[in-house]
Formats: sequence, C-alpha cells, structure tokens
Amino acid sequence: MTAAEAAATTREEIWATVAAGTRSTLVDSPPGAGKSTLVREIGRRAHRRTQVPIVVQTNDQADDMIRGFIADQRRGAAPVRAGRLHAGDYVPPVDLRAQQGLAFSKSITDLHDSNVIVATAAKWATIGFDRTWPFAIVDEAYQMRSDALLPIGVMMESLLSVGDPGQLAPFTTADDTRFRGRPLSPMETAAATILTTQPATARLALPISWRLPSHAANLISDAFYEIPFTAGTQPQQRRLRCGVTPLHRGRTADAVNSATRHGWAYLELDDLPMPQTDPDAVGAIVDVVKELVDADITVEDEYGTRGLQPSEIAVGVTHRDQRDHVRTALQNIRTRTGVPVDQVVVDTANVLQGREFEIVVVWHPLSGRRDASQFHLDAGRLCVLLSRHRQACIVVSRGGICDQLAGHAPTEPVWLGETTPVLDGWHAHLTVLDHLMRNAV
Amino acid sequence: MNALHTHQALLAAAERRAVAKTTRRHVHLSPRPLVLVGYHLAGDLGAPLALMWGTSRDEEPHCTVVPEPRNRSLRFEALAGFAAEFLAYLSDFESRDEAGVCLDAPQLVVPNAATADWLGGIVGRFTRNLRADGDSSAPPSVPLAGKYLSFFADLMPGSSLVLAATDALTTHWQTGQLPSEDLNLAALLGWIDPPAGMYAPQAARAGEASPPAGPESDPNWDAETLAELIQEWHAADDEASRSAIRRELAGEIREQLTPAWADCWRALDRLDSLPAADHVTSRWQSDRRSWTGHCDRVAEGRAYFRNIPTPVQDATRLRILEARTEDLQREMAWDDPLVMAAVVASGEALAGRVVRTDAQRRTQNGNGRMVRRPLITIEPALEFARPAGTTLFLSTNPGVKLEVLPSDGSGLIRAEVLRGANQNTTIGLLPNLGDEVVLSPYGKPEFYQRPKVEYIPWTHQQILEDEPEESQ
Repeated sequence: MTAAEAAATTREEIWATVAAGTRSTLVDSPPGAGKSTLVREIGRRAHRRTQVPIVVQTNDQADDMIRGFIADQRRGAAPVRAGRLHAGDYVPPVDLRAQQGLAFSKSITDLHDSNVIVATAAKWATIGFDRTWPFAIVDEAYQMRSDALLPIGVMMESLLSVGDPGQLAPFTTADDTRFRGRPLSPMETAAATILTTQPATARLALPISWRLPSHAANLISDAFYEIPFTAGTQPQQRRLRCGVTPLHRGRTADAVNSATRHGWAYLELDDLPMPQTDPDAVGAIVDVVKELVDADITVEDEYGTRGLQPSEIAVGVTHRDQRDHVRTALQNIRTRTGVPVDQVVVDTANVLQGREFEIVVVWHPLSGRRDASQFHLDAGRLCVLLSRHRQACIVVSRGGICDQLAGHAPTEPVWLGETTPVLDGWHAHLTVLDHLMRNAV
Repeated sequence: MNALHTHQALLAAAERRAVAKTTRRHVHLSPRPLVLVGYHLAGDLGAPLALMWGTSRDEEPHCTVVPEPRNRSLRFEALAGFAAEFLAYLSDFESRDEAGVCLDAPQLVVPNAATADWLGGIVGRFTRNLRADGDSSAPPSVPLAGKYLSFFADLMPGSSLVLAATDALTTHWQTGQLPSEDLNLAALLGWIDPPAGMYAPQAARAGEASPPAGPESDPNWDAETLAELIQEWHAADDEASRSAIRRELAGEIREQLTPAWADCWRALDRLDSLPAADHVTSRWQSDRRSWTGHCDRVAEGRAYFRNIPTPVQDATRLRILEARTEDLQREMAWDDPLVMAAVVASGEALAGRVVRTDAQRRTQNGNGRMVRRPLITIEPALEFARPAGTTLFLSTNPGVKLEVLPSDGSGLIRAEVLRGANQNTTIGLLPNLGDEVVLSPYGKPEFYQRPKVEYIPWTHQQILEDEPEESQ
C-alpha cells in the first residue's frame, strides 16, 4: 500500500466512525499529516445531512481553512457554501473578499444557508445558546483550552476533534495554581477533557506526515510522538538548489549549505548567558535569513520545481520580544538594502502552530539561558519549532545547552491529581540536540 | 526578570538599602485593619497552636492558644474565642449606602502569603462546614467564622481585602537579597526600614534572628519550650495547674508572635508613607462590592464553598482572573511613572520627546478611503526595537491608539494615530511639539458580553464509576 492509499484508508475509517453517529471522535495527527484536509473532507461529506460548524482556535487558522475550501473547489471538489463567522473588528483578508460562494458575517443568523460555518472558539462562545447542531468539527483540539470547549458542548451534540498531541499545551497569563491537579481543570486541553468525560471516544491517528521530509519525520517521531509516523515523500523527491554560490565564506554560508544539502543545520554561538533578546543571536538569525533570500534557492518537490519566496521562510522564536527584535532587524535590512527579507514570517511557537513553510530558522528556546525552566523545556515548544518545514530547518543557539540540561533539576512542583505528560522534555531535548550536533557548522 | 528591576536589585545590594519600585501606593489601606498572626503545630496545618490579633497598635493584642493542638475540643474552644472577636470586628462593616453596597469593607493584614493561605485555605476550609450539634460539635461561631475566612481566601489580583505584608512591601520596594529571602518579613523590613545607623543587610540579618512570623514556628523553640509545656499539660491533674500552664504557654507564644505583630504595623506605616495611586479607589470599590455580596450570601444562608468547583465555575473564574491580572498591571503602569519605566526598560513601551506633529495628515485606509491619521514623530529616550505595525497607546490617555510606522533610518520613531485623537473633537488629545510622552502597550480594556453557560454540557460531565445509584 502506498502512503497515499494508507492515508485514504484512514480517512475512510474516520468518516465511517463519524457517519455511524459516534458522539465523540478524536483524531491524533502528527505535523502536516493532512489534518486540515481531513477536516474539510469530513465537513464536505457531512454537510449533505446538516450544516456543519467548524471550530478553530485563531483567526489565521479560520482564514486558512476558508482558503483550503476554495482551493479544493479549484481542484474540482464539489462546491460548498462556506460561511465565515467573525468578530466585529475583523477585516477579511484581501484575497478572500471577492470570492464567490463565501459569506462573511458577525452574526450567525446571516449564515443560515451556509453549508459549513468556520469561526474561532472565542466567537462561537458569543452567539447565544438557543441553537444546537447535531455535529461539529473541532480543529486543533490539543491547542484549545478546556474552558473554551464548554460553550461548544452546549451547542453541539456530537464532535469530531482533530489535533496534534505534540503541540504546545494551552496556557494562561494568570496565576493558575488553584486550577492545577483538579479533575477537568480549565487549563486542560479540550482533547484531554473529552477523553476523560467520554471514555467511549473513538480514537484514530493519521499515519503519515506530508509536510516533514523523510530526514525530519524520523527524528520528530522518535523524539516527540507516542504513536510513530513516517514521511509521505521519498528522500529524493524533495531538494533545494542554490542558484548563487556566495563569494564570501563563513558559518552563515555553511549553515545555508548544510541546510540545502542535508535538510538540517545547527549554528552554535559562544556559550554565554544572555538576556532574552540576545543581540548576537538576533544578528546571526538575520544573517542566515538574508543569506537564504540572497542565495536564489530553487525548491523541488512532489509538485514540481519553483523559486523559493521569502514568505515561504519562517523564523520561529520563543518570546514575543524576541519576535519583535528579529522583525525590526529584518525591516531595517529591507530599508537599507531593498532585499525583501521583511516578507519572511517571524513569530513565536504558539502562533506558528499549525502553519507550514519551506525553510524554518529556529531560535533555540534554551539559547543563552542559565537555567532550563519548565517553560523553555516544554517539549511541545521545541516540537512546534522543528516541525514547521517541508525542506530544511536551521537552528541557531548559544552553546552550553547540554550543560544546562545536565545541570538543572526540574523546578516545577508535582501537582497531585494531574496526569504526567507522556513526553519528557529533557529526553526530547537531548535527542534533538544529539541530532543537531551532527549537523553543526 | 525585568531589566529595571535587575538594575534596582543590584543598586540595592551595592548601596545597602532598599530601592523604591514605585512612586505611589498601589494597595488600599484601611483606617481600621485587623492585624492577624498565628502558628500551627509543626507538620499539622489543621492544628492551630495560637492566634494573635488586634485592630490598634497601641492596644495589647488579643491572643488565643491551644495547650494541646491535637485535641479537637480544645481547638474549637480556642477558635471560638477568636471567632467571637473576629465576627464582632466584621460586624462593623455592615452599614450600606443607598445603592446597597457596604460603605467600607474589612481588611485583614497578615505577615506573609503563607499565613493568608493557611488562615483562608486551611483553617477556613476545615471550620466552615463544622456541625454545631451532635457529637464533637463546634460552637456555632466557629463555622460562621470559617465561612468568612473562606471568603478571604478567594480573592482576585488587585484586591486589598487581605494584605500579606511581605507581598505588599516587595511590590513597592526592591531589596538587594534573593526573592526567597524577602519572604521573611523581619529581614525584608530590615532592608526597607532599617534602624537608624544600621545598613540594610545588617538590619536584615538582625531581623532573621527574631522568631518566625508564622504560620510555622521555630523548631528549636518547639523542642525546647513547646514540647515541654505540652507534656506538663498532659501531666497536670487539676484545673488550677492546667490554667497555670495555659498562662505560661500564652506568655511564651506572645513573646514569639509579638515581633511579627509589630512588624505588620511597621509595614503598614511604610506603605502609608506613599501617596495612594489613582486606581486604588476603584479597586477598593470592587472589594467593597464583593464583600457586600458575601454578606448577602451569609445572611441568606447561601455562603457555600465548593471544595471542587464545577467546570462552569472554574471557567468563569479563570476568565475573571485573567482579566483582573491584566487590569492590575495596566492600572499600576498608568498610575505610576516608575512602574511604567520598567515597561519602557523592557522595550515594550516607548518613551521620548515629540519632535514633530502633523495633526492634519490624511492617508488611504484598507478600503481605499481617505482618512485622518495624525502623525507624531518621537525621539526615543531609550532604544525602541519594536517593528512597524506595533500598536501602542498614549499612557496619559489610553483611548488614543497609535501604530508604529516603518523606520526611515533616522533613529526617530514615527507613529500614526488610529483612533482616539483623529476627530475635530478629540484632536486636542494629540501630544504637542516638545512634550515628553510614553506610548505603552496598555490600551483601555475591552468588554465582551458573553452568554452564560447555564448547565454543564455533555463534554464536561464526568461519569464516575463509583457514583451511587440515583436515589428515588
């Protein structure tokens, strides 16, 4: 059975479960395993019976979902009337405004003739609970907080929840001590909640990552996932070629070289404790990005050959101030040189969840720290950062991470009644580091 | 840690004195607080050993002791003594204004957060549901006081109904010692309020030598004094010798707790030396309202506290908690230039002088319409490395929302007004040429009306296997 056939079989299984009227179905999906494709397919099949609400977590995800429906139609899928329910201050993106068969509204009553309605969980919570739907789909159920599932449970009679268990767990800015270790704590993920309350939940998993290239799928599967998965493409199907050989040599050029040849590069800076917005790390990342944009890279993959666009490159960071510093530095280069490096997407792991790029430059979460805090050790954060790319990943970090991991015992208290995470952040970090060291430049 | 706070900590260590983190006071101070200190038996949070309280520093504080903390009737007897006076203090705050809100609310002052957690979380929790009838009953005042203590355990950020002295002081001052060392009230006061002629570290060391402020007692004192007195209590065979031992124990306990009691008042004095910040009143008003709500529930016999809240209650609580946490941060920064300075130091806010303004500027918006977008150009006082597109709000007028424009390489920051100062009626709010301004990330909070989840939906109903059959 080919990878595509295996994936199609799983999708049929999932549809059969849903069509049988199962109250709760949970599909675990590794990065880029066609989660959104699955959601759209089930949505398209289920709407023949009834209108299907689709619950996503962010406005970007909602817009991407809508774009997916439009793209499906272009490829010949049966047309669906998609409704995009949104907040009052939302402005539809330019590329979606003029689309046919698409309705935007801030009121659910305007969307009564839509086949599927896409909105964020926060928006669904505002529509009043006098209506119910027999079936709904929740996307990114491991990213959604349990309290956000409450209003969904009030309105929806059965749910298909889809998500990536390796993603970042939800968080709060408030002191959450009093919610820890409680049964059905609002800080739990929606997926964990539904597994607790509905032990009969049908659990399925998508087996193949279409996004990750084969050299990354194995590492990510080993380091971060309980249920193993493989890549959907063969090693020779994906390739990067540099159009310009840089005249100057240096570690930045070496990093880009290693990334284009092997799919991985690890650029290590001097071992120094630094503030969160380490200017040298910002500099190194910006240099790598500029090198990538300058190198005139050609992307080869299962869809064909094309030039790499700056918007297909992302920089993944841990903190918002790191994001701001990298963005500012890229904007300054744009002003100075005219190279469109500011089109490169720079964001935190939390925001990059669920998104996909050709090349990702990662600012290692433990870079320049003196301790390995729980937040920075979070395996989900590292997993998100290392699993956004289709071709190559370049990690930039201060040295000494191994010593940090060895030298710092866990500081988090043990919460009675809380299930221990399946994944050990320490172990995941060491596995990844071991791999990165072999690709050091 | 914030860059400014790191600087202040280093400065404090170098100059051997505490450094102010605020220019104003961000907690409400009641004219008549109830200062409360206490110990429990080592290793047994549920066994209070002694409580000491009072509403005036000039009076001898009241004190109650349990000669054998493991004996339940002795425990309830001692707690009844406290409960009667605690309830009498609270009854002074019953009078209401015409809107039905209590005119003032009580304020408990304790030495540290551990004492607050112990009194509200543990003592409140185990007394609030005690039965006043039947076997091993407690006096009715004890469960009632437990309901009030439980109310004081369940407070939001920014509330001043309970002040933990160490928390309140570290909000306002930075010491040169470790945060864990700041948990000792006497040592902390050594830094903030050292005796004349003594450097802070020296005064802090002297403070560390005084008896602990509770709720844990000094293990040496436990071994040398307490254990012996408890043994004597058990050995005593008549009432007269028992009361003698009780008096002796009370005397010993007073000696242990009086320093912490006095330190609480010292902490209040230090806080009182700062002028109140603007938003303290509105936060206290919200405290008064929640106090009123609790009094109503007690009066109607509805003052229930769930040990395990329902998912709906938890979700509501978390939402309010998140909003209040942000509100407090925002209000403190608006009220206090030194708090805002820390936000500037972190790079989130922009401080600088206005070097150019263009109040008439018009530009095309996303829909292609010409709209008024006044522009101000700022010479930043500290490097500001946020990218174009960052939205900021005028700190003196958070209704004015601006967006940072792409840098022109001159080092000046250009920001256009998106709302709040782009109409003829509001243009006066635009800063003038030469003004020193701060643009912060703190805008006016937004309120969303949300329908209430009335019942627990199927997704959150846990079916427990050992649940008894439904009774007929």
